[in-house]
Amino acid sequence: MAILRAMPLARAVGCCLAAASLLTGLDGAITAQEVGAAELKAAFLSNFAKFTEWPAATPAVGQPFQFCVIGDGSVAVALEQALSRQPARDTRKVTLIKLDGPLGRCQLVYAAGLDSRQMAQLIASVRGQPVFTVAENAHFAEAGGVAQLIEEGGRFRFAINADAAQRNHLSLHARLLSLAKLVKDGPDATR
Amino acid sequence: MGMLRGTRIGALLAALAVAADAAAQAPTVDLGKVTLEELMNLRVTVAGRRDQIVADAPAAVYVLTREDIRRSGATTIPEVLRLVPGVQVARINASKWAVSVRGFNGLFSNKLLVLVDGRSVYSHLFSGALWDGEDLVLDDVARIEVIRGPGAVNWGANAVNGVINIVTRSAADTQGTFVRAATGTFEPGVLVLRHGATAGRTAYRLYGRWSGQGATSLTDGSAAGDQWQRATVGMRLDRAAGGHAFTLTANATHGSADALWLTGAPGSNRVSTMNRGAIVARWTVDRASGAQLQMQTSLDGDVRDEPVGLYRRQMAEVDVQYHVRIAARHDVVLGGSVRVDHERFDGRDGPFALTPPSATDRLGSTFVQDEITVTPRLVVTGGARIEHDHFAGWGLQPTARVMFTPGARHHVWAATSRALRTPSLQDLNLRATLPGPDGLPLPASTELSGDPALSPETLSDVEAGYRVAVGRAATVSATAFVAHYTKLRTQEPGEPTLSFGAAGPYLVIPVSFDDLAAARTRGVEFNAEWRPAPVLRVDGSLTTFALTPSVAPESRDAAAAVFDGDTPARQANLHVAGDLPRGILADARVFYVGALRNAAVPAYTRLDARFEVPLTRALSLAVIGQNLSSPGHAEFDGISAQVQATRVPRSGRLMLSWRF
Repeated sequence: MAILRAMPLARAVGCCLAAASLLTGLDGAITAQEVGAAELKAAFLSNFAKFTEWPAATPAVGQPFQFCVIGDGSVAVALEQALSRQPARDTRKVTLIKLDGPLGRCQLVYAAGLDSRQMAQLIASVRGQPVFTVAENAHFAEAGGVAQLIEEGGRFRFAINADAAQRNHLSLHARLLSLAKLVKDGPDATR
Repeated sequence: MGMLRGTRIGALLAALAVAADAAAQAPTVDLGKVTLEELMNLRVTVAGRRDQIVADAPAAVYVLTREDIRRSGATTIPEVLRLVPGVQVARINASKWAVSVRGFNGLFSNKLLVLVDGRSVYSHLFSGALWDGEDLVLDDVARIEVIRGPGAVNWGANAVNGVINIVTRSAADTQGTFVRAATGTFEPGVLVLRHGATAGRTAYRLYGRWSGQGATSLTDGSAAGDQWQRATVGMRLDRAAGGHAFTLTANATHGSADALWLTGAPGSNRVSTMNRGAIVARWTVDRASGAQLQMQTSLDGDVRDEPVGLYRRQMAEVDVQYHVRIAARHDVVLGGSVRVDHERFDGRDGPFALTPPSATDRLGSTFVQDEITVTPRLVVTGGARIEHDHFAGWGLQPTARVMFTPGARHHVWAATSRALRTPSLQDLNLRATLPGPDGLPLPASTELSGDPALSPETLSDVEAGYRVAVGRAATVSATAFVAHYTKLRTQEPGEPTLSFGAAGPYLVIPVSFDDLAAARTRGVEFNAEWRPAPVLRVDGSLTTFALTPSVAPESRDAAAAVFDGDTPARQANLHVAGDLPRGILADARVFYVGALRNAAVPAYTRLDARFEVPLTRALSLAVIGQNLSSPGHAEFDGISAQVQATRVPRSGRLMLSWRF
């Protein structure tokens, strides 16, 4: 910081910021309520998996539980980090895939940036298979997706389509359902 | 085009900042321990939205977010660009900037392509962006995407050293009324009025902006007299329904300035006026197959009444792009564009003229790019653009890129490309009479003339980059490049002739443009970002650059042989941003820019600071200090562009923003 030393004004500003960061440190209890969007989404995904039961043979014996992420590397990174802090980390794996990748091998798929046609493609391609689908598209759950993340004023809620979960042989805990906005198949649902 | 092209690029480096590591716990929320109920009460930071712009881009990409722009304290686009790692911004005087990436900087940085919402603002007369004509409301800018290195396949001609794409916000995002007023020691005033509303499925906004800029100072501290002002009115309309999206933008700008041209006739009016406007219409269709078709058409008009002459331009462009997935592995974008560009320059009293004075350039191009997912971790991209320019003929611009993602925290990419800079009208048709060199036995004048047979300047480059998430909240990105340029412009003196004028005999030295120079450039670019706490962000960058010219033996251009790109060997910046209690935002930035050897501009350090205090829910006050570390410093030399360079002063500004 030789540059800063040379300048009284710069030093003043530097001190100000240092003081500010100290203050905010003390203030951590309040400000820490803000997190990165990717971290928050990853935490939701991790919780969805926690409160869902897959059929007995899923994943196959010896295979890790597969979280698959389409279209948003930052969520994959955040999820990988979140899982690495939890016990039994070796039994779960995060993979970045494409929409036309091997979706059937995933237990949970989070897809970002899909248009409405791609959204329908995702739902159709795992229909009847034990795959928990998550996206943020409007009406994703009505269209036959299992869970839809909904951002409102910087906070996230989620919608669940229990029929879609049942079609994919997933059993959802009451805890998950009690917090979700419950939706049914819409007229255009990919059944 | 912004949207489609936007999907090609992204800034994973920033997105990776969310990575969390158990080894380095900072005082933040441990999301692993938070209950689902608590999760629903957490709020996403605005800064976190940067990671919504994400793609695995095998290129040196940086995205300035709205938050970055807001916290920059800048009021003009070129001043905002100081924040981007690897971009060299030098203010020549109050109304002129030199902005470039990877060398060859100047008032007309002819190897950098600048687009606003996908519409090229690159002038064919000078080859360069006319920054004083782009008068945007900075609050309306959604993001600025900057690609260092060639982007010719996706973006077209003249995207040689880099591309700057300014993307404005949808009208749906700018609803309500916004008023901003600012006043300061250097900029006497900025006034922005904007109103957005919806009618059915159509959202629109209307806006006006007036800004006055004060004078810079001369070396002796006196005012340079280069104050200027601009006024802009504009609108944007967005409509979306059933897989179709339609966007219409229109704007008109009037400005007047003394640009400190060195070449006006003595005693002539020195004030330049500018009247320009543009209309862009874009239609995007999402097909049932998942494919996307985008069509854009734009009309652009510019009239600049300068002391040296009258410049007029009309341009029309149609651009079509189609994005489709073929089989499982191929992500293909293909498209084409046609542009008709009519330009006229009538020299006035001064030394410049074009012969013929007007020209119409018809440019057609088509491109295809295929992104092949070999494995989920290995993506290979190949593409090429074929272009036909009325003056330069056919040109082929290919690229090959590879992206390897060994783990979610690591991204390695490499690319090789060829790109072209088409000759400008002044390269081809300029006639100029300038004072000759001193030290000759007789007074001398130089007769400069363009060469209609000039070929495009050509770049071949190799670059590679690495992005990594370090620890829980840091990201580092590094890029290295080596580029080889051929057919660079030279000015070749011919045999002098003796003429007789009223003041006696004098020498006339004919000088013609040629393309006898080549150059090799190389450099490394680092940038890093660290968020030790959700309320604190530290980021910085370091860029090195070196240019080695080589001139054909038959060339007699002495300046070309020592050309250094008018770019510093090193530049760096450091930014600290804190979100203080009570919603106060604090930012401090230090910029270091190395010396320009040929232009004899010394190295300088610049310090900016900004505080924003919310007064009520709707009203906020910002206090901005710029260039605080010195009373004034020079950033560039204007001689080569025939404008006078001045010193950028220390300045302070107060800004009130009101949203309701």
